[in-house]
Amino acid sequence: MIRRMLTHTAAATLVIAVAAFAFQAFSDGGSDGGGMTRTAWTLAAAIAGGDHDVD
Amino acid sequence: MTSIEARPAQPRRTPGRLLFLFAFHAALSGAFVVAYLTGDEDTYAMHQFAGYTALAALAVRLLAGVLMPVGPLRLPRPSLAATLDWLRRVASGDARAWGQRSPLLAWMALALLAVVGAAALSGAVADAVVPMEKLHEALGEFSLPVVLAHVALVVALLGLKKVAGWRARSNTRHEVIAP
Repeated sequence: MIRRMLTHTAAATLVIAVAAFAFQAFSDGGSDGGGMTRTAWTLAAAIAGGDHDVD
Repeated sequence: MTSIEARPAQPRRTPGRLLFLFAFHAALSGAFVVAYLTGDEDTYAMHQFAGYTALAALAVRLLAGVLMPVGPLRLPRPSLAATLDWLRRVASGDARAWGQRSPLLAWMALALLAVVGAAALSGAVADAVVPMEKLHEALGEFSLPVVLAHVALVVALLGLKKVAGWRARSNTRHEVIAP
């Protein structure tokens, strides 16, 4: 049961991450691809930096 | 077909309510992980998306708990007396207490619902009321240790259950070997 919960959680995390990424990319720069690249860089920088401050 | 014939093998179906709990756990934990990692200003839209997903999952769970107050979907109702009794039995080495569902899980579920719910709700309010951002940030940071404590508790209880299983098997072997 725990293994099943972990599998479901990993799958949900992936789906939500992809959907959130698409949401951010489209709100950043539309569907020209520029928003997606920008989002990828800022996301990588945010996670690598470990800075969770809102401001 | 007579009554003693074996029924054709069918895959075991998970009850719908249990599936609902799996889906809720998956959605909330997935949204929490994404929201926590995207708390930075540059990934604000991702953070918002994940936060509102967590809030929606919590709202659906609360609604299900209110509509079905009996059964697996009822909201956690921890009992201090049951918890103290379980802890006493665990400490005294009662193997049945080691293997059974711990009342500590209800306390942990309540703490998680409260803390993660407060973090998600304060985030939604902070969208409109900017001074709430500091509170949201503090609740977000505080929710991580609670989530980690939940993981630690589940792992510890799983360990306790395994030890109880080994002890039970070992006792059975001794009883079989003994004249």
